[in-house]
Amino acid sequence: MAIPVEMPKMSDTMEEGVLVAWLAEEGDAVSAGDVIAQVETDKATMDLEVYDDGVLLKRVIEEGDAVPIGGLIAVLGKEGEDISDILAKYQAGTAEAAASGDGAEAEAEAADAPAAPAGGDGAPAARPEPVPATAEGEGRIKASPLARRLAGEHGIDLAAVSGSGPEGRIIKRDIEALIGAPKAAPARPEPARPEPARPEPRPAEAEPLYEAVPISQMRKTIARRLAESKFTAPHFYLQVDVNVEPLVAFRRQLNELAEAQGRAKVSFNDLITKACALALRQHPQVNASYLEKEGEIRQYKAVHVAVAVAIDEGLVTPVIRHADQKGLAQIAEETRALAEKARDRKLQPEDYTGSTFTTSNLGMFGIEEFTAIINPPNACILAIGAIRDVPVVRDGEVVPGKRMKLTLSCDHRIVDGAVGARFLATLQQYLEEPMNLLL
Amino acid sequence: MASETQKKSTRQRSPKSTRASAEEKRNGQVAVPEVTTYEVSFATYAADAYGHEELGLTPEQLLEMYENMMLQRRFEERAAQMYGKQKIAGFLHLYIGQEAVSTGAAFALNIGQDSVITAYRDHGIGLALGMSPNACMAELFGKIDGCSRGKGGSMHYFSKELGMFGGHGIVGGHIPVGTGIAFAHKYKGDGGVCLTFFGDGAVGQGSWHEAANLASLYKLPVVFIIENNQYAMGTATHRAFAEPDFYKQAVPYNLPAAVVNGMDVLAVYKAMKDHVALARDNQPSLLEVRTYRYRGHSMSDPAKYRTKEELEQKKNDDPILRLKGYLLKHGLADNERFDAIDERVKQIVMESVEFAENSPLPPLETIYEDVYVQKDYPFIS
Amino acid sequence: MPEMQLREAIRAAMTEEMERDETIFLMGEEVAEYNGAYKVSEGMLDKFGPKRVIDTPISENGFAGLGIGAAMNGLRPIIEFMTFNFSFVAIDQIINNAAKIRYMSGGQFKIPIVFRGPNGAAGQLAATHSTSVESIYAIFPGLKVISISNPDDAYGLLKSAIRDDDPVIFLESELMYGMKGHVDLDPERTIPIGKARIAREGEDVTIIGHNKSYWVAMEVADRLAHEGYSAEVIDPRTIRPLDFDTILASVKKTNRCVVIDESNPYASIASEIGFRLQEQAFDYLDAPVMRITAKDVPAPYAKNLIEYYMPQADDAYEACKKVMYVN
Repeated sequence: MAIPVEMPKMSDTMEEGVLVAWLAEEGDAVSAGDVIAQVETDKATMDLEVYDDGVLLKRVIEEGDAVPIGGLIAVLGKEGEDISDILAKYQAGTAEAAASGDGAEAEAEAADAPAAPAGGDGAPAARPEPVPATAEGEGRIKASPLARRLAGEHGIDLAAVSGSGPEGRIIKRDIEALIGAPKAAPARPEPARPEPARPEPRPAEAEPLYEAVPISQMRKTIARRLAESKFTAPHFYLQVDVNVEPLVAFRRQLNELAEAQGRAKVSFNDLITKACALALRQHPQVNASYLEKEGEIRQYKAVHVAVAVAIDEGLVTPVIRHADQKGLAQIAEETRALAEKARDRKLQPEDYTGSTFTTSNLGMFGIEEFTAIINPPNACILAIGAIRDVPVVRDGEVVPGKRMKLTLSCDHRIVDGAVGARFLATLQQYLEEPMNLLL
Repeated sequence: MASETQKKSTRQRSPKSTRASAEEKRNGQVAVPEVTTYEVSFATYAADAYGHEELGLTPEQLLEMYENMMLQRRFEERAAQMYGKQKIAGFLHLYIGQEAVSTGAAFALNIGQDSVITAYRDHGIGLALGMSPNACMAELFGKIDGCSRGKGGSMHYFSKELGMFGGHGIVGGHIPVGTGIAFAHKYKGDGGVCLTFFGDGAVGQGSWHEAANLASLYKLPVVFIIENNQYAMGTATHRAFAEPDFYKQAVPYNLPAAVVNGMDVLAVYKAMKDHVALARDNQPSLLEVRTYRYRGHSMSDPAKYRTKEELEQKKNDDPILRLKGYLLKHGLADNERFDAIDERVKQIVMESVEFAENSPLPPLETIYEDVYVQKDYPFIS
Repeated sequence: MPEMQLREAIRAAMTEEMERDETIFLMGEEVAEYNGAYKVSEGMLDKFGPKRVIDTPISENGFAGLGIGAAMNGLRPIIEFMTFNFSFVAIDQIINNAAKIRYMSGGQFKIPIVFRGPNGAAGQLAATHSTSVESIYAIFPGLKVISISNPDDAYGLLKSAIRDDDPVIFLESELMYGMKGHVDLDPERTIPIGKARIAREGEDVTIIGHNKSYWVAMEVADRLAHEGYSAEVIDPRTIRPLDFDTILASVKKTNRCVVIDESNPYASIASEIGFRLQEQAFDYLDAPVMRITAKDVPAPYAKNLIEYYMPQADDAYEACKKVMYVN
């Protein structure tokens, strides 16, 4: 039996993937676990593994082709096996989709869909946060029959699974999330769409007025997510100008120590990450999400701070988990490692999902102040400006000082002015008395 | 049997009704005559009124009629015994006393060409038409060799071969079906007619009235036969019907009708002959045959609704004894001949019991057979 | 393929079959001289004459039983009920005689008869004229029940019904008689009884609907498609025998099912499908099977009430979202 290799779901916001490189030739023998291609998702470039042994009979798509989740990428099987049935089956599916309506229009509508899964840092915005399946005071585990079967087949203990269905029911997608099945439920096949816009050959006489660049998966996701955030979360902004002289001194001391111990240097950003984490712990209203569809506000028990990282293709937000519980050195090391992975497009879903707060720093570009768009479903984002040398009045004299502007964007649906201001005051206090970051 | 009169009477009703004339109708006006009257007379077929020669029957045919009735009688007596021995279950409605009706009818038909349909008291007509006593007894025993393969039981005897379209369990439900059987005879032009039997109780059902109207409207080759055995289960006719003279049921449906003494097989035979002939000319008609059942409605019925005296009196009117008396009186057969017939019938019935005993129960897989013609019908299992 | 109204497709099927087989006749109230209460049999009296296209008095028990007797005796009647609500005065004929005589006679008699006519609600006709009878007749072994949603299925399935040697209840719809659709006219062509039609393939949820409810199902599937969800729509077409294999395969794929059924909910076809799915697809269900039916009341008269009484596309849409666990 020939085996179809389908486009797997490689992130929880992924809807389609672009095959960027084939790593195996037709006719190659492959074994389960072999990587046969690389796929660009909205988040990263991922390895495409096969789950079966066999010969790569057919590379169905070419490099650069975009395929929706579940779409056919390749066919494995025995040498010389007839695969026309499989090809026909998938072909039929494509034809149907193509016939079902105007591709562009359908795509536009899909993007508008209220249930569109979260992009950005990939937090499960549009889905209920998993709740423990064993409801308080009730011993039995609620799981759909299908989920029970899947769990049984994969040796998964349901007691350890969080259910995302009604009343914590464990459903198919919860199990699939654990077993890394290619398709979470319900599949949302991208409506038929045109080929990724490769520049059309144009008549030689007409000089092109522009260069058409295909919209990457990442770019699409950023566009949709940030538009969704800006247009649904009413933003307001609070700013403080932090005296960072103590912080500068503190950092210098720390790094001297780090150098002596051969550890990673701590950046201002790392210090701010830590300060944010500690401040968030004291202000749970900010470490929260407004989830309209679920009809609730969630105040998270853990503090996961995402750090925006610019890469060539766009922007990613790797997450420092439990940042409030981690030491500065650990935060520094993790941030550096994640940034490197991001630039190499090697981030895994667990690296960039689940943040409860995000920071964005443009100080290195000399930007003194700016406002950032909230990374849904976070309640706030902190925009960090450059450290400025400014004249300050101290004891009646004008002396040189160092200041840094922090601008907090708040979702007014959940964070009111006073709440945001109090959080910002706490943050400022940590940064101006940085020894507290060590406590 | 108050309304039995002479054997010769006006067979066809002769209506003298005043109706709106065609001219009045053309005027487009509603017309109501000043007075309207409706006179109709009915033929009657009395007991002891017919000789076999005038009916064209030979002495041998009379003896066949005797044997035919005796077979029904002995078969049912044995069935009653088997019911007591729990070989037979469910409902068992005996026909004993009414045999002249079935036999008289069967002898008036072209069996194979014509059709018969009746209600649940169906052993008599089935045997009269020639159904195998073995198959009939096996059916009562619920065995695979039964005439309906053990699926119908006492109330549901069928024989396609003999044109026996069934015993039917719902009172009156089969009367429209009999009408349809006649419709098909006419549609196909095969010359067949359908005798549709039902009891006095069925007259109260709407299905009779609908069927009578349709048969008359479409001029179908059907003879409706009300077997008036005086009781619908335990209810005497006068307690259930404002008009217990059932032949009058023919009037609103514009059907010819007659009343027949059902305790005399020759009277029944004559009536059937006449009305089957009408049917062959696509003239439907109604016969009310007055008869009597000697047993209760079913095996559980002690028949307390009638007196012993009434029963004894009716037993003097036994149709089998009447025919035997006729044959003896006219020197057409002697006692030895009757003894031989009785013995043969007894043997046939005993054999039917033995056959039924030995026949296997229907294999369980037959439960799914004959629900549909379609063989691979996907039953829910 | 010509486009024709549902009534014309039904007429075409009857006409072709009657031309093919002289034992077929059409009988019912107003079928002949009036040309059919809903003009289904228009022109058929002229074509076939009064022997084969026969008006009846208002006498459903009588002519239903007449048809059964005729079928036992070698004919193939098509009995039209002006609406299936009127079949209730003939129900003894249908369930005690048509459905059971073959069995009770040990297979000696076959009853090749079609009872056909409109079924279900048709606007503000109130309780006695709005019953959806599928489940009532589908209960009885011995009957086959077909309920069609479009002209081509009506054409192909009615021909199969007429040719079938078993009694068939063939359910149409007043509201759909004028509906147009392409019909592949071909005297030899039939659509087999007992085969569902996958009207639309999909992955996320299976929606089942027959007769008018099929169109509700399609509307819901369209709405879901606009949101990027793919619903598989199945029109069972035959209610008995139900093509459960097709339903089962679909639900094993989608793991979710919503049944839309115009009948009242109690012991409905939707109930039957739901039951069988839990029985046979238990380990494939990711959500409870849901049904959207008429309300559990007699059909009311008032416009707003009868509209509310009918299965609602909005409710079916919400049910689909619910079983898909999306908002």
